[in-house]
Amino acid sequence: MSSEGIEEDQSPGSDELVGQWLADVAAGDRRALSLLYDRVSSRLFGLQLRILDNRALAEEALQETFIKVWNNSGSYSPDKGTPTAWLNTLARFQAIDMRRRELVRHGGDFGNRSTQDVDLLKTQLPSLQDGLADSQLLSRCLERLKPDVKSCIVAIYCEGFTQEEISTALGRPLGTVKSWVLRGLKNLRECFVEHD
Amino acid sequence: MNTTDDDKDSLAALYTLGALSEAERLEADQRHKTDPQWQPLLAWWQQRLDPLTQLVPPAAPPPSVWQKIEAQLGEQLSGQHVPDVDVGELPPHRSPPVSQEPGLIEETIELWRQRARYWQMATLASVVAIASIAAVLVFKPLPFQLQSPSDLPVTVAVLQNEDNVPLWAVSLRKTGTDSGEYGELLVTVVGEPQLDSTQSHQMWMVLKDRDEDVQSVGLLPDETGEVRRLVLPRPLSDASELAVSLEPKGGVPGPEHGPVVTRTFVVTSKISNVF
Repeated sequence: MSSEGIEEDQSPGSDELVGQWLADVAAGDRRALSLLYDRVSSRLFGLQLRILDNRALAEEALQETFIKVWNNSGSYSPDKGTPTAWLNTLARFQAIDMRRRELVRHGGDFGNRSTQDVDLLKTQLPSLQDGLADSQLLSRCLERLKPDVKSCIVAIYCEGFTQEEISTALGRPLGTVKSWVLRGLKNLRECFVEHD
Repeated sequence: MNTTDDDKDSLAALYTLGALSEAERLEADQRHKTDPQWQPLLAWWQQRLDPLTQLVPPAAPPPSVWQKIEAQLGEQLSGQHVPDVDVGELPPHRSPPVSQEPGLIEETIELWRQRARYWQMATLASVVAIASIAAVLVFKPLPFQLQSPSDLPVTVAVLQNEDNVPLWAVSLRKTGTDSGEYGELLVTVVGEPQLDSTQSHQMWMVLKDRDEDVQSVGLLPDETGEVRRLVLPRPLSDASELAVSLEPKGGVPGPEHGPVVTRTFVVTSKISNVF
């Protein structure tokens, strides 16, 4: 099993391949799990590392994610979205749940973590224009949002922040943050529908 | 879009975004039972927000992660060697009555009478004969500091078929920890579960005080001697019973399920000094 390269195949047909491997894994094919791991583990680990900001926890999250893939891949069906999006969601939620438990351990503030618990891995996320070059619809719809609202949505999705954390970080009432997020999602929906 | 649809859409969007708590998300996961539009709505949001993952740079995990996954699956698949685990002697073909504390059997019988809900309905509809209860899965939450490898696992239940032949032994390998994990079961095949190549046995938690509410624990091993570790999706104390159903290969997401082949109660109270 190699994890050397972190380049992933985003070409058309990649999702079909991942879907086939998921089906094979559901049938008990260990080699398919290995191929799947080679293909997607870097992306999933990157997401989990971003959310957990701790290498050991992210490794644990990735391990648990693939055990879930092994045990539950039979529950995947196309009506749950593309195989890649399904895997991304599985990995994100695994990391988000672990992050919330860590938050509880640290009194609701990641800033309370000791330096041993923190990996200073985070760099600035790329701009939406650069980072979402292959997804112009989402980029366009996000750019329509107010900057604070857009930041909230990206922080929750990509970094696993809770709305309470954002409220504290920005010094704004929790109700305001929740209102921003909800309004932002509604605006996104309108934009998606408009361009669908 | 009317108010109800609007609320549902907002919930689906918050779910996909990751803004719901774990408990809220688990609750939302039940909506698909009554709302056929829920799953497509989630997929709609998931598909549209998923490109946000492209903002996050990939990172290569160390080789040790895959090695751990292989080791963990090796426990599940081979059953040849399970480090640090003593699953105890395999029971004879017909297990003797399980020794239990006075009062526990009475409590079990009372629980049995009370549980005339979902699983019994499913049982009646089943083409597979119902297996008898072999034992009560006894779960006593232990203080975290008392847990040590020498304490665990403890074989706490044996699931039998309708002829009282043991099929699986269930051990409590880990109880919940203060880090929020919910513990693990270790399931050992001690008999010869009957199924064909297109089928799997799946274990479920039947949740307390929530009619017809079940949550998948995972697929069970089926080869004699095989051992599989199942990570509990929620505290074992949330369950009134553990049940095993026969499903298509790979299992089903639930809550709909196939015929029940065996089950056991989970008793979490009125027990002391069990271990």
